[in-house]
Amino acid sequence: MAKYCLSVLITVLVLSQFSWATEKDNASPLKKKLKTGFTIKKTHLLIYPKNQSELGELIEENSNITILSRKRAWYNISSTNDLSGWINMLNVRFSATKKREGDLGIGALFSSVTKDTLPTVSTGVRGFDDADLANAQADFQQVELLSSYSVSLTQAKEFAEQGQLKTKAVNVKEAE
Amino acid sequence: MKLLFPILLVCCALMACQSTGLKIGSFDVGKLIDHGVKVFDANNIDQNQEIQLGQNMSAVLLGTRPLYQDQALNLYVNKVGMWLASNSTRADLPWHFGIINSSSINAFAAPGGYVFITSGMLRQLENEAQLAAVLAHEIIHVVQQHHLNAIKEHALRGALTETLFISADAYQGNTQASNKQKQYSQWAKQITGAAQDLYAKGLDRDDEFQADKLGLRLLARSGYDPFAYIDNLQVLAAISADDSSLALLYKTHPTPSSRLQSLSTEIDKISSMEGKLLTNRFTQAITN
Repeated sequence: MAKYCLSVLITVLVLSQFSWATEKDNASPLKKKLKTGFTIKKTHLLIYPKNQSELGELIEENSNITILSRKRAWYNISSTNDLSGWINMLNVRFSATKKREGDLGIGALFSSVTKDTLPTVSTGVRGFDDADLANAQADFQQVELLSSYSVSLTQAKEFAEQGQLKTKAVNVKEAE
Repeated sequence: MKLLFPILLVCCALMACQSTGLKIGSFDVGKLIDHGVKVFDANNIDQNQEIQLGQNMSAVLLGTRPLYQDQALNLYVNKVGMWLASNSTRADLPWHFGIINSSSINAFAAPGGYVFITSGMLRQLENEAQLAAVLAHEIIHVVQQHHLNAIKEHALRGALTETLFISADAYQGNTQASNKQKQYSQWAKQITGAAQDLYAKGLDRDDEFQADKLGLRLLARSGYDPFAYIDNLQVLAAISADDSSLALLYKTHPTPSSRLQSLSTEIDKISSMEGKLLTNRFTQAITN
C-alpha cells in the first residue's frame, strides 16, 4: 500500500512538472517563475506593447519591477510602487542572480520549474579558462565523434517543419 | 645571372630567420622553415584550408574539455544549428555543432563551420530560440571569417604558416620526419599556440558587436523569436561578473550590458517581427 501511495505521489509530482511544459508553445517561459528586475532609465510606461502606443505613467530609473510577461520587445511589468504597463526590454535589467548549476537531464527539468538556482552540486564538470587552453592537447578522436553528430540539410529542414519554423525575410535598412 | 641576386637575398633572409630563432607571436618561424613548412600568402587561403584550420582549432578546444556525452542532445543542437546555418550566406560549409562538457558559460566558433556551446551555457537557457541565439552569434563569426581574419591580421602579422592549415599527418609527410612523435609535437605546439591566441585573447570588440547584430537577424530569418537574443543577454547580465564560470566570456567579449545597448537600433528595426520560442521541444531535449 505504501509502495502504491509513493508511486502515485511520484506520478502526480512528475505530471505537475510537465503541466508547465504543455502550455502554449510561444507563451513566455517567464510565467513559470516571475523574474524581477529594475529600470535603467526614466521612461514612460506604455499602454500597449508597440512604439505607437499611448503613453502611460512615468517610471523612474532604478525602479524595482516584476516582469509579468513579454510580447516581442516589450515586457509587461508592475513596479513596487504600483505602476504597471509595457516597457521596452532594453530599458530593463534582471535582478542579480546566481547561475543555474547542476547537470543537464531530468534534474534540470525539476530545477527549471521549481527555482532559478540549484544548491551547488558537485558534478565533477570543470570550468574552462585560458590556462586550460594553454595545457590542452589536440584531441582528434573527439573531432571524429563531433562529425558523427552532424546532420544533413534535409534533416534540418524536417526538424524546422516539425517546429513550424519558416524562413522569413528580414528587411532592415542600414544607416547611411 | 640576373636571378642570382634575389635568390641569394631570399636564402639569406630565410637563414637569418633560422639562425636568429625569429618568433612571431608564439610561432617559431625559423624552425618551421627548417622543417620545410611553407610560409605563404594569407590572401590565398581556400575553403579547404579554412576547414582544416577549423578542425585543428576544434581539436584543441575538445582537448581542453571533451564533448558532453549525450548523443541525442548533441544531435538536437546540430539540428538547430544546421537549420540556422542553412539560412546563412555560407550554407554550403560542412557545419558541425557540439556541446562541450564544461561548467563554464561560453560558446565558441572555429573557421570552416565548427560551433560549440558549453553544457554550462546550455543550462542557463529556457527555450530553443535562446539556444538558437547563442548558435547564431557563433555562426556569424564563421560566416564573416572573424577568426581567420584575426589570425591573418593580428596573430601572425603576415608570417602565416602552412602548419595551421594542414592535418598532423600531412605535416609529418611534408616534413619527411624520421621521428614522427617529435614532428607531431612540433605541429601540435603550433596549433595549440594559435588556438590559445584565438580563444584566450578573443576577437576584436567590433567583431563581437557585428556577430550580435547579424546573429539577431539570422535568428529572425530562421523563424525564431528574435527577442530571445535579448533575453539571453539579460540572463548573462544578471549573473554576477565575479562568477568564475563567466571569466573567459567576460575576458573575450564586451559586457552583456554594452552588447544590449549596441543592439538598441537593431531592435527598433525588427520590432514588429514575431517568431517561435519552442520551449516544449527544448525542455524535452534537455531532459531526455
